[in-house]
Amino acid sequence: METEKIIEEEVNKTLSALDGIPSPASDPFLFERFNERISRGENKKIRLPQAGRLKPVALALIILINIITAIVFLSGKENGAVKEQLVSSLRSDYDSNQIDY
Amino acid sequence: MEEKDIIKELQNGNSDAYRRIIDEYQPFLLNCCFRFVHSREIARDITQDVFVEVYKSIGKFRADSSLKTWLYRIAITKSLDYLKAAKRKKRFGYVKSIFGFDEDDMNIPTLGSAPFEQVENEERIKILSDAIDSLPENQKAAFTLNKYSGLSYKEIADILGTSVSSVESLIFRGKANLKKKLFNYYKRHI
Repeated sequence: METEKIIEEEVNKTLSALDGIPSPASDPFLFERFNERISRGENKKIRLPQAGRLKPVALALIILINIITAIVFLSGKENGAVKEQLVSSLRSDYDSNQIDY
Repeated sequence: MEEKDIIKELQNGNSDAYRRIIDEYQPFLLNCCFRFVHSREIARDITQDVFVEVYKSIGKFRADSSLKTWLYRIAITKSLDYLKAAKRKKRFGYVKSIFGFDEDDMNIPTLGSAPFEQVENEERIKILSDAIDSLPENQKAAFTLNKYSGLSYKEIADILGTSVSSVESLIFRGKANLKKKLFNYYKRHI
């Protein structure tokens, strides 16, 4: 019972521990700091519409890369016989259970 | 100048309008952030972030609430985000300490030859801050805004986007939880 009373007292004291803490003083240079950050960030803002304009160019570039890749891939099919031979020789190497170090 | 005119000027990027809101709202926001993060330096940084966020988002602000309410919302969101990040960092620091890596942030500051009352009060502040931080976010926000920022239930309801009765309930539950946490703490330590 006595312990509970002591605990209650401690709880009440602790609950009011933050009451007397004063608010922090305002930063007199906050506007200047804010302005500096904004002017650094403004470059990004200017770039945004340009980035929008570049979207079709980027899309065209991606399509072009895809077309080139497809052409290269299809032209590579002519060497299919050679590739197949290589694959089958590799497969036979792996399939053989021979351990030869 | 009316609030809608200030908002228009802010949307036009008028620096005088920004200076005006910074002068007017900095003390409230700084105090609000400080009551959440318990550090003057961090509160100052977050307050600066709030105004940068205003600059970035003012174009989307539709004035459904007052400017002050909107600013408080940003400040609370940023403060709670900071606390979450700090908690993650603390957890990571703990894991690092288990594996033998040193973590500077985990060093307990020496109190030097501070008077006993001061040390005792610092200890109480730490215990209370930890207990508040462990409350659910909405209870923490309602309790802190009411107790330490002196906002009315109506203002808190607007900021949190809820009803006055919900705010009353959040504050009531927040206080009860806080007492329970502190009671359990002292039960273990006395």
